[in-house]
Formats: sequence, structure tokens, C-alpha cells
Amino acid sequence: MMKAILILALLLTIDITAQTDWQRWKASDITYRTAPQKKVIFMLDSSSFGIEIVSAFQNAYYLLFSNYDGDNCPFNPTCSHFFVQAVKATNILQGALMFADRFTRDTNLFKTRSQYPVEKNGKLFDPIYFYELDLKNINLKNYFSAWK
Amino acid sequence: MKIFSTVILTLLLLLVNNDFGQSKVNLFSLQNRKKFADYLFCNKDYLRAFDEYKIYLSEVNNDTIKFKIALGFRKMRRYGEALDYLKSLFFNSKFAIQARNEYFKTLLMANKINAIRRYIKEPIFITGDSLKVPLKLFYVAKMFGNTNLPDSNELKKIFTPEEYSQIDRFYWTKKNLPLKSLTKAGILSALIPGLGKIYTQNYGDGITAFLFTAALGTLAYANFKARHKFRAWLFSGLTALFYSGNIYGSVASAQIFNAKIAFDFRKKLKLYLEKVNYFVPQYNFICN
Repeated sequence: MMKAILILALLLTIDITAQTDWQRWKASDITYRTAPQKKVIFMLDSSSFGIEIVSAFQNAYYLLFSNYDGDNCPFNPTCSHFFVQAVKATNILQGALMFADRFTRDTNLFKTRSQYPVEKNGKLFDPIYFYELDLKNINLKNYFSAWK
Repeated sequence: MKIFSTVILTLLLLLVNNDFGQSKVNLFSLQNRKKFADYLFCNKDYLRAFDEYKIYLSEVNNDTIKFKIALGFRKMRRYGEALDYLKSLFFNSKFAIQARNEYFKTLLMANKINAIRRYIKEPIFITGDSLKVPLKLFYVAKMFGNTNLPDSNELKKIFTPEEYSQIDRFYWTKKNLPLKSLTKAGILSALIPGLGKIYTQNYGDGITAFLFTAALGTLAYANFKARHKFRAWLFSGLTALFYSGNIYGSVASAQIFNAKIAFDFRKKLKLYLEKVNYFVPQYNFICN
């Protein structure tokens, strides 16, 4: 009996979540403009040892996940770009810490739009120079100009 | 009839004659150039006005025009050129005092706080009445910077009672800015993951960091207990990464919080300064 209720609940849950998928697949207005193709170039950046490692991980991530998952990261730059840029701007250790912090912030279910400036494409603007721990880099004039 | 036709012919000749038909006004005379430049200046067409003014200045030395050019450059945010023109009016000019006042105003507008601190000590600025505005701007510049603030009694001597009531408010706001300690944020996050973020008022991030680190830690512990060595070490590594990342992020978050607070303060102060025209009197000869 319990098993049957659980299966029924599970089926209902799937049904409810599946229903939201209709929103994604609903008919859109006809447009003859072709969507810009975002071409991922798989290249190993070997400017330094740290960047080479991160670049390898980034390529693997693009190939295995990002290509199928689509453009779902709410931030600009995206988490993977953030990681590479962070390592380029600092070093592998600091870059990894910056990425860990960004990833935690990305998983934050309670993040509000008031916390970050929203760009025209709806992405949350969260540049790396804010997290380099260098006060000179925190240019709020540029930051707030990105606010819609 | 002959006389009549002669008169008509003469009249016709006179009408056709260029000298009679057109006025002899020289549109390119210096005075007309100045008039046209003034018109362009008042319509904020500064670059074209400057072209005309420069031709005029090549013939006549006029301090008013130099002063106007300086103000025009400043309006265009070309502070370096504005400062150069103002500097040329410091001596032997009827605008000596105004130029010094505007020089300091321009420095503050260009955020050259250190230059204000340096120039205030130079004797050329300390001449009688000319000191009043630069000194006021010098004290305001101290509020823009990160150095120690002066004694509040000093402000009372320099500003008028009306100005003082506002400046005093900014002074105490600056003195008691609700800044967050970077060290405290880091230590709090080291004690309990996410607490540093909550301290910097990023509540959602703080709760997430705590849950995230706790979940990874639990996974590591459970795998050690179940003797799944690889998974146990993998989750331990991830826990360590996200735990340290959170400490780092809390410090960064405190720094961003402080930068935002300082930015808001500076913005409010700048709005007030614009409202009172940086304590510089308004001129009625610029556009009338």
C-alpha cells in the first residue's frame, strides 16, 4: 500500500515538473532571423601551468556538460569563464578559491536580483575584479553602470 | 521725358550697384567672431566656440574668454585642459581669485584628492580671500579620501553656519560609516561556514555556504565510515575547497560591502557639492 502511494506521489511529481516543460517548448513568434551560433573553440591555453590545467577542465566541461545543458548560468561571466579568468588574473590557488566562492553563490537559491546588477540579457553581472581582494580594482562606477 | 528716363536709369544703376545693395558688415571681424562664439558657448557647442575664441585670443588678450574656455573644458570633463587655462589666470588677471577657486573645484571634480592636499600648502593659493574656497574644498576632499578626518571644530571656523550644518552631518556620517571588518568576516566563516557572509548581510549566500559545506562534509564522513576511500577523499577535498573558498569569499564580500558604503557616501557628498556649486559663487557674465 505504502509503495503504491509513493509511486503515485512520484508519478504526480514528475507530472507537475513535466508540465513546466511546456513553458519552455511553447510556440514562439515566427522570426526569420537566425540565432547567432555560439561556437565553442576547444583550445588548450598554455600560457602558464595553472591556466593549462584549468583550461583542460574547462574544455572537458564544455564537451561533456555545457554543450548539452545550454546557456543556463545566471551570471556573466559564467562560472567556467570566471574560473579561467580568475586563474589568469591571480594564480591557481586564489583562482580556485574564487571559483569555489562563486560556485557557492551560484547554488544560492535565495539570491536576489538586488544583489547584483542585471544586464540587458538578464544575466547577473559579477566580474572577477571584485574578488581579487584588491581595493583599487573595485570600480563601482563601472559596476553600477551595468545596472539596468 | 529725357530727364525722367535719366532719373530712372540712375536709380536702377544705384539699385544694381553692390555697394548700395549690400551692407558693409564684416561677419568675420573679431567682435563678430566673439559674438558668435558667445552664442555657441551658451548653446553648449563648446568645441566650435573654442575655435572662434582662439582666433579672437590670437589678436586680443581677454581673461574672460580664457576663463570661459576653462569652464567649457571642465563641462566636457577635459579636466587637464581646464586646469591649464585656469593656471594661466593665476597672476596679473582680474580672475585671479576665481581661477584659484575654480582650479580647486576642477581638481575635486577630477577626483585629484592628493593634488588638493599638495596644492593647499603652496603659497600661491594662500593669498587673502582666495583661500576661502580652496580651504573649504580641501576639508571636503579629506572626507572623500581614506585619511584621518580633521577635528570637527576646525570645520566650524571655515564654513558658514549654513554650510556647517550640512558638512557636519557628512563629517559624522563619514566618521561612523558602518564598515565591516575583513578579518572578522574571515574568522567568522572559519568558525561556522557562511557566518562571515551573514555578517556582511549576504544572508542567502551565508545559508547556502553552510548547507553546501555541511552536505559535502557529511558525504565525506559517511564515505569514510563506509570505507569508500576514494569517494571519502574526494568529498574531503571538495569540503576543504569550499570551506576555504567560503572564508575567502567572506573577506571579499566584506571588502565589497565597504566599497559600496564608501561609494554611497561619496555620491551623496558629491550631490550636495553640486547643489552648492562647490562653494564657488555663481557668475552672471558666463551666459547673459
